[in-house]
Amino acid sequence: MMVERAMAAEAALGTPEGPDHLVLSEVGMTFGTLDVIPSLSLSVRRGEMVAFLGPSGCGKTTTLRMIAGLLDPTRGRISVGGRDITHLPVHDRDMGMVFQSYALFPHMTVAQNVAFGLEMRRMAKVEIRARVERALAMVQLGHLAGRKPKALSGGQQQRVALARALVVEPSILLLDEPLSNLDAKLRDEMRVQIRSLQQQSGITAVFVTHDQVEALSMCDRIVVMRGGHVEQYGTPNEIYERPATPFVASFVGRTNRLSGRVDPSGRLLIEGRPVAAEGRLPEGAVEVLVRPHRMSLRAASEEPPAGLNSLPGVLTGATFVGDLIQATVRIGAGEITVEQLTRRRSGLPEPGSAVTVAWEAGDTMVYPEGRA
Amino acid sequence: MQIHKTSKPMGILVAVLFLYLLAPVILVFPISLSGDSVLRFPPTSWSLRWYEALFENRAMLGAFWTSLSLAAIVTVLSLVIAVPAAWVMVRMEFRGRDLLFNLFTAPLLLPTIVLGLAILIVFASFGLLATMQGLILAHLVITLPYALRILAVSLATQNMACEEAAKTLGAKPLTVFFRVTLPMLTPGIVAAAALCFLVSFDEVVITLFLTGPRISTLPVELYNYVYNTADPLVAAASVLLILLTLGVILVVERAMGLGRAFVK
Amino acid sequence: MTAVPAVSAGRRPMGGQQVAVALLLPIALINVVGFMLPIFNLARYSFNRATVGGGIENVLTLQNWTGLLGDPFYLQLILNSVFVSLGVTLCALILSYPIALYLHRASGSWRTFLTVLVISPLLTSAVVRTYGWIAILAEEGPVVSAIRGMGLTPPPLMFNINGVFIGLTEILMPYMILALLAGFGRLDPRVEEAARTLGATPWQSFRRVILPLTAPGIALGCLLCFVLAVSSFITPKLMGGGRVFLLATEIYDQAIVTLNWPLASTLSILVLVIFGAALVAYSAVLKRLD
Repeated sequence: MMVERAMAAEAALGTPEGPDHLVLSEVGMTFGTLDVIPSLSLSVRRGEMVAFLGPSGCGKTTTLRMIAGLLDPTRGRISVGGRDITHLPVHDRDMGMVFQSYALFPHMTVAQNVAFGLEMRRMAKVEIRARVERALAMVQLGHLAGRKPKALSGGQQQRVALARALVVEPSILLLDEPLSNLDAKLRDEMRVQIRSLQQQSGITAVFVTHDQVEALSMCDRIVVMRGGHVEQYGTPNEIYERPATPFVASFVGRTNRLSGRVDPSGRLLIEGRPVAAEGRLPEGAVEVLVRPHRMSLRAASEEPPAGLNSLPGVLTGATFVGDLIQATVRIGAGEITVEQLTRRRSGLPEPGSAVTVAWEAGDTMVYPEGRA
Repeated sequence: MQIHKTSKPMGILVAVLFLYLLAPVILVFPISLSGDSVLRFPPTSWSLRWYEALFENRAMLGAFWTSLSLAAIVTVLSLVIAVPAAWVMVRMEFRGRDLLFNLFTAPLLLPTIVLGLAILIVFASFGLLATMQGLILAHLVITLPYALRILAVSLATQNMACEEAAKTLGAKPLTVFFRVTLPMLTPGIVAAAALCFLVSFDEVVITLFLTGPRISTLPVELYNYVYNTADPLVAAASVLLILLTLGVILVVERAMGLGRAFVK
Repeated sequence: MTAVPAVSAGRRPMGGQQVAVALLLPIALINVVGFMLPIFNLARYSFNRATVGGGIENVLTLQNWTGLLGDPFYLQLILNSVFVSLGVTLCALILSYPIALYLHRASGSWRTFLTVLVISPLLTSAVVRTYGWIAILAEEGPVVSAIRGMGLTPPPLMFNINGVFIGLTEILMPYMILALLAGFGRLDPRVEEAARTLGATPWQSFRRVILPLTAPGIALGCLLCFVLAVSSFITPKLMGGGRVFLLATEIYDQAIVTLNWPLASTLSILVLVIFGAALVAYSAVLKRLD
């Protein structure tokens, strides 16, 4: 549900169409004998917010740290605004970074923390004071300027970290799992705040996360990573609706897997029954993915809805979870989940009874078998 | 209800054992106020005469100032040498790092009687016997391992992200060190300083090998005094030593909490 | 989140290597001059010959070693040192164990307070504490008076092995307690409760559950105390009244009084050999406990 709503909001905003600002070309990282990132190329447009999304160990943080200059890439080139920064020391890169642990300097006050980057740029004291004041006002923390970080709540520390990174007006804002240490409610608030600050300042931002909701709701484009590779790079809508691989489909949103076969004439068959799908289909054994909430369920005795794909199965169980009913249905040897919105008089068939599962042709995602 | 709730006999036993453990430290307090001319407990009369005697004892006073300046110099040098060394050990990766760390802390594993003799023989040929330089060097041999260990642990547990954050904000390596790493290391530095001071100030065995009529430290003077005489003078000195130690501990306690400094 | 090595690989300011060497140079120099050189020198001296009047003849000889191991006085001295150290270690263990167990079970500020009490003797000079024992065990001291008060004849406590034993045990107890406490880490009070609910008497649960679980801490504490006892010098010297001969006191006398540095060096190396043996025994015990 969350995902869908977030995407609707995103679609309304549109994507900035600026020139490429940050460019990674064939960047690779090797630790000892371990190829953490074999070769990675991608570019981020000016003013765009891009998420690196993937499970832990996928190389997303390593990539972010290479952009920041905290790690030296083994191979490849990184450039910002056309300027090669691959071997530039961290302190000359002009990046603003928000760390997962916030990394606020514990021995400095909030104001001193925010002023640090400006002092490094040898700015006049008066100017520094004015900018710090503005930055703290921007994150609604002006009243806590004299406090030490220890005396702040998690959300307040997060905002200080954000102000500290933004106040220097860096060329790129880097965010490393910035919301993972916050509780759920605060995370929702901060998502909105970070996104609006980023859009107001028009800064280019890279956001590392393992949380699909954050990536889908906050970012213009998403890089889905796995094992040091880019699995897919696209807008939230593309990632969700047209996942490039079964991995993307199952990592972003949930999905059912069915085994099928495309015969030489190009017809897709599941359990021997023809199923409609859009686009060109790969021949041979295939994996068919359909999202649970795009499927519907009815008793086998009812007429299958016209124009939809339908498969017969046996209802094996149903769980009531408030907004939804999650039904499990056995189809052939496999089992899938169907999600339906609850209504006051929802008439699910009895467990054990024969049912028909139906979905639209456009919701069928087909991949060659074995392409994990 | 916990089954193993301490029983009464156990409590009494532990109290008696604690009494045994603390008896010699506790006892010097009343003895220092003795009015007797020999070591006797309980004293037959009370007075401050032994404190007066202590402050009139020039050898003791001289040794006290030697000890104090020696400990202060050793403490400062230990920090100046150990902080950069600990930084290299923790923040840089190089082959043989663990070996080097073990080598630098190895003097702690050696009995002081052996180390004292070994240093005596070498220092004799360098002309360092009974000199301040010799004492400073010898004390550094045993304070540096403590300082290095405490500072390395503090550095290793420090949040590295803070240094990285400083770098991304434009701070050069030296600036990062002085504006972020060093201030964040303050508790470790205080603990290391306190320990170095106490170790140097209390050191007897190695110092015994290296002192002579020309230069002596307070613990060595006390040792020599106890070796020759048994009167309450040393009790008065002991009380002052204990109070000084307590003062140092209080400083550490204020800075970081005693538990964290010594128990861990 | 994602695993990243703690040290950024590769990137280092220009000349980082030289900087590292420069920063390590002072500590390395002190280590060489004040530790390595002296120890190598010590080992060498144990194979040199002493000449009359404190001189050293730079020849390679086993004379010190054969002389030492062939002399009944030194053999007795070595045995004395080892047995006294073993005895002191055992006493320290027996007296420290209840304190450590009590501390382990205590909680909150009470525990902190008791821990400070245990550590405080460690921060007090060995000379001061030995002096305290001299005061306690002296002819006019509280112990002797108390025994007299009961109408008994007190045994000689000062300036003999008894006094050394009593003082040394107390001086080493804090080390033993801290080592035991460190080893008690894995002693979960619920394990003992479980044993009791299974019908074990307090003694059985101690013997069958607590003791085996705390054995590694006991081994560590014993190693530490033994090693410290063998090399202890201040207490035997001050409380022994010149009548207690142990390895450490003999090293000092040979070095400072007799000025026979080769012999003192040989005795020192012998102490290190005993250390090595204790370490071997400790690892053997640990292996059996696993």
